[in-house]
Amino acid sequence: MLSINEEEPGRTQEPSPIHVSGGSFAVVDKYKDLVYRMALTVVGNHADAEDVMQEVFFRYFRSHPMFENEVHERNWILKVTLNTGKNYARSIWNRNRTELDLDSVAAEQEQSGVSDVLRAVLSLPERYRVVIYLHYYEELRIAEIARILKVSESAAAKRLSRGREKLRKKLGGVMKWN
Amino acid sequence: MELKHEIKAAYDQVHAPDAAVEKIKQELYQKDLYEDADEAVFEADVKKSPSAAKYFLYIAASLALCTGCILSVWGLHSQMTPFTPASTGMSSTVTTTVTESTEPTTEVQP
Repeated sequence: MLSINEEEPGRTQEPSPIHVSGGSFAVVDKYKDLVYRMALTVVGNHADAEDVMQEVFFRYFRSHPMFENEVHERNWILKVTLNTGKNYARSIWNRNRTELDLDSVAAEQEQSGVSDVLRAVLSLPERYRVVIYLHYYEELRIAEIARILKVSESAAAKRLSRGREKLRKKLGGVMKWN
Repeated sequence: MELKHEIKAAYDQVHAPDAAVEKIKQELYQKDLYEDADEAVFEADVKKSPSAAKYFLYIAASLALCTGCILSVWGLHSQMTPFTPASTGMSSTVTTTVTESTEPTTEVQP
């Protein structure tokens, strides 16, 4: 059974009822898109994102984690997806394959109907695109992002700022943020 | 359109492929990893007092350890045979010899 420590993101200080997210495959149906989008953001291509998604759900069902509320569960899944994706990208097999198939992955992304904005986000370095995804799509606050990434709040804010600048340059520098 | 909304719109178009999701469900089922709703609720009920269970385990382990120590000391003690010189023939001879040889021979001159 997975033990949940004090530093887990989304955990509230007040005691609250234990949250178990349905049974059977309800968890898969509920979080499949969240996991897939996060995995895609971390690894940068669809094929690897599918593998990462599979591993995340295997981990979920193997460890039977208990959560205090839905936010806690969601942040746990985001964190596990991030770590699984990073490990996957770091693995020797994947590193070798990435070097060999870089062109084919780029071609796949060209053909798969990904929008220009998403392509620009995915072309950023991993540390920036994850922060941009978490902040602008999942609408997490800097403090929550910092907890998921295990960095300080100022570091998370700096990554967001730099990522925004890089994305602005990639998209022509005329986009407005808010 | 603001970039924030464009990012949202772009990610909204990204969905987990149905084939991949079905494959995951099948593998979870085959590996017997998925759980029923009833099991999940039972698990939640059991997990409500982890500290009490830990406390009970700690007490039981401590008691077992103490009992084991006491029993082993008691066992060693009961196997010890006290040294009784008269119980063996050798010891009496030795005792006699020692007594004779170590007896002080002090002669008092008148």
